[in-house]
Amino acid sequence: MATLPILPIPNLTIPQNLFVLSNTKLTHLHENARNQLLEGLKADGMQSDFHLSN
Amino acid sequence: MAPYYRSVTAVSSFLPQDQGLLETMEKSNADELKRLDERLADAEKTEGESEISDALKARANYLTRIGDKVGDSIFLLPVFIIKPQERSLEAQKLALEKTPGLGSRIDIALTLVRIGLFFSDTEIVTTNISKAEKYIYPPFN
Repeated sequence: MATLPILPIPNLTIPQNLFVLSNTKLTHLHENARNQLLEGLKADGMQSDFHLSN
Repeated sequence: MAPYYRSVTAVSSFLPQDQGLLETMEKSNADELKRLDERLADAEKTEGESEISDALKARANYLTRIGDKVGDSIFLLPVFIIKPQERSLEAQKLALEKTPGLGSRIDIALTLVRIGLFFSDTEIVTTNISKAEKYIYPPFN
């Protein structure tokens, strides 16, 4: 029996990256977190064909 | 994620707001929501219970995915606390109410848990973990 994929919604890497950006002790990770945050927001924000639940 | 992007960029300097990107996201989100609303309206007119349930789930999942609607945002160090998003929560609860299958109900309850985790809202997390547990291990009569 095939296992159904778990819907990756909402994308939990977004608040994780936000947490990294808010932490001043993690400044060495900020650039990467900022890029990943933006990419995650774009990926979920501009997908017009929402096929996962269809 | 236009609503979430707008909220994050409004309350912090972590991410500068790109007006062009925000407008593109808003248009994309509005177009897709319009399509999903039309699909739901069609299902309610001509289709059966399971098609209506599918349309409700599709709409709820899209609202969840885009972080709509983010309420008032509060910025507290060291983390953001963004108040829960009524539209996606309400849409998921409606889908839960109208969905007949146990497996689908468990999926929706776990999606509600993820919404709680996403917005750091422990009340949503604990309430829906209990709900999912009741679906998985129903009480004996």
